[in-house]
Amino acid sequence: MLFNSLDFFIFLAIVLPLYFLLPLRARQVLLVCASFYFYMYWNIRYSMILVFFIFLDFSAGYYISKAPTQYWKRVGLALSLSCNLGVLAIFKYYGFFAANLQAIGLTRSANTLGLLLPLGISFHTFQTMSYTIDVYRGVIEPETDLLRFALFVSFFPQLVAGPIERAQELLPQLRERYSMNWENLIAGGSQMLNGFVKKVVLADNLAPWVNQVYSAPSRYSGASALIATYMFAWQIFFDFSGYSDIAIGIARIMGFRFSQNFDAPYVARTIKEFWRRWHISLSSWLRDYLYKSLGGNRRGRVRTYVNLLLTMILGGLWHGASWNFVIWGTLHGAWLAIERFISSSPRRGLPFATSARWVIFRDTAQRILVFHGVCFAWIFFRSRTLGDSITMILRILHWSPGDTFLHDFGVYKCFTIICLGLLYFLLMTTNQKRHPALEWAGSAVAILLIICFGAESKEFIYFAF
Amino acid sequence: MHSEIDTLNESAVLEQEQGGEGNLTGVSFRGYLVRLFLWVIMVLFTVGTVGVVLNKTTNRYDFTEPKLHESLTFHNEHFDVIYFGDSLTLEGFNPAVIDADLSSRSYNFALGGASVLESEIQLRHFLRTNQKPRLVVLGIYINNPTKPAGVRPTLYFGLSRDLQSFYRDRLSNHSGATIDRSFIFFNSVPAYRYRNAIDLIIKSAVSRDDQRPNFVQGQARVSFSRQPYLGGQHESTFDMSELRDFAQFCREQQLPLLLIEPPNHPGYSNLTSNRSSILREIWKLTDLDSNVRFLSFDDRGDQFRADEWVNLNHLNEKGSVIFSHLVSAALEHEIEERTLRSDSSAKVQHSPL
Repeated sequence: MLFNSLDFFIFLAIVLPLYFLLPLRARQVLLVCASFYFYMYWNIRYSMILVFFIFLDFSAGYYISKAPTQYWKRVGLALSLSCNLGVLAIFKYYGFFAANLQAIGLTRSANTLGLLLPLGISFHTFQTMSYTIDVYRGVIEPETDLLRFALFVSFFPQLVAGPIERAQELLPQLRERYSMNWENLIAGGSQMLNGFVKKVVLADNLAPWVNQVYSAPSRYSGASALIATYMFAWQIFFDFSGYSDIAIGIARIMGFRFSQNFDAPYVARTIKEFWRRWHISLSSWLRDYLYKSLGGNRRGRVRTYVNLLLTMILGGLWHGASWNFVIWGTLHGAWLAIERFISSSPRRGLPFATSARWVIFRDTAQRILVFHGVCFAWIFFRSRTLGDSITMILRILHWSPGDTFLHDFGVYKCFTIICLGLLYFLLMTTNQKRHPALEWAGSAVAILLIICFGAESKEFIYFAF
Repeated sequence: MHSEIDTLNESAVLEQEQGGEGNLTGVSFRGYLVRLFLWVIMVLFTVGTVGVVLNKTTNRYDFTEPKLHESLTFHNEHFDVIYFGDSLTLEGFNPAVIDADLSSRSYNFALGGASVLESEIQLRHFLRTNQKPRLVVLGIYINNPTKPAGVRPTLYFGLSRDLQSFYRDRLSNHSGATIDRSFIFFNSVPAYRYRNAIDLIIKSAVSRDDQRPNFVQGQARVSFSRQPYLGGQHESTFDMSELRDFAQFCREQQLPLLLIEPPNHPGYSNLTSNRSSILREIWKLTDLDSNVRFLSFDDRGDQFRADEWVNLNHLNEKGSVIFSHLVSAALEHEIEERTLRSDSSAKVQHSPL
């Protein structure tokens, strides 16, 4: 079920009032049922994968906590992780590896299993894996209530595209009975509205232009290729942060607090800072469960760089089974490693380096550099094939202005809508004192923007991961 | 790495502990409901007002709304020829010129961005309450690089229930647009339904040309002319299955069907990679179905001067007059031939139409 569909609003109109009326245990039953309905709306059979994850990791958590020795705890963890990653491998990576084995001549034919990628499988796999790892590390006690654990895995606001919530944050909240609260309603509703503006007004209006160029890059000039890449940078930000806002907003209305997933990533001055601001729940997951498990920065400088690179390559593969994602991850990993190398090297300060003007100039230049570096990596992320990525880059390098893309009136309309959307967010951000009249007017403007400029319902980009 | 987030979470927990559970602002449950009610009223009022304004603006700026209203309300009309198609037909076929040439009565039903299926729906609706025309002309844009505009709510809501259901079923067999609960719900909100007017206002504001066409017998007469840009190689989105369905319906209704491809800018057809395969399919259709004829004016593009086009492949008012004379000659020949086949005496006694 898409958040930006009428069906979801009908679903929410039934679930929310019931949620507030029911006692705690009945609420948990309601939310599990609603979450499964939400998931089954896409595919009934694949909801069995969710059931599998629930039973697997609930049992694994219990076993790990009760295992007599560290060795058996480790065996339990290894089994749980193997099963989780095994399911992910079958559904997500089998075809990719089969095709590559065939390409290098190790197998004769690349038989794909013809399986549909389960919606949000990477998200709930990571969420359940973090649970068993945390139980193994002793960070949390295992959950003893199967219903509550089922809700932790399947909770519909974050089921298909995160934020990837940690068990230690979410499970305690699931034990509480939150009553209807005006503050939560306002804060959650506002965040939901912001999410819808980001998704249907901004991201979905950018999408046709990006799709047009990225579906056939050889037909477009360097100018169009560059603009489409900038547009994609903003499309993916609005799309995914919009989804996160809606998810966080719905949870907030019900009384739950999810962690924020985005924090103005394109103002980052370093790539490290970018990853502190972009898809925070994934980057922190990668840091805590992958980078640190690989040894983090505790095994010397060279090993730190290798760990950064490996973490980001695997992070790239998490997004999808293709060489484009591997390159995207490699670019980010290499950049993080280079940045770490430079920052750890001794530097001689420039005599004028402390002046206010210099600081502003340096920060601006760094922001522009980081944004453009991220945009360069987005080319690999968005292109359908490696060949398309190279075509896009060559088109931009062999600059030629003017083609149908910029002659079309629609692109000006798109820019107008983007300006209106950004104006809305600017006004909302400046309303720090949260003046009620402005809040009310803001929400009315948001609804008008969605009605008047919202593009047709489209799936969220991160649903594919 | 995430100290900011930790701080955020801590403050959130603190806030919750301080009273997130209960009456944080001292407002009772009834107070919440009153506020919620007032907010809903304010939003409804704002959205409603904008809807009314957009509805009024639509009639002034929208290419198709007034025309659609007119074409949907015909009752007991008789036209000799009716034209269907997309914007190329809408702007290029001038019924007044053709009628003067052939002493006939005709109407241009074409809509900007219309699919062949949409044309079929229009034809079905027209035949419900009006007399059969003597000839149906369907303008086809074989080189069309863009998908049809989608479902027009004014058309859908103007249909009888059974036609609405037929339209829904047919759309479900085609990819792209669908008519579902969301479509019906959102289009019942005027601010949503008439939001296209905003595009047209912006377009009118940024363009030096008067974008508003003058409608005569359904034709959109546009006076300005702009330099076209041909673009690169592309694949046509023309849907052959919809054309087959249209032809089948005309055969069932015993309505002679003439397919006309309006002129394209010189060289544009060479950029359509799948043009030859579409043409083969069309010729195959005419071979199998004697009720269908096909005429292409694709190679006549070089007969038009630069100031006779609106933009790429679309003729303006001047261009449409020239093209419509060409269509008249073709129609005369077509009618003569078809009339000769059915009733040779009729041709001797009367004008072709």
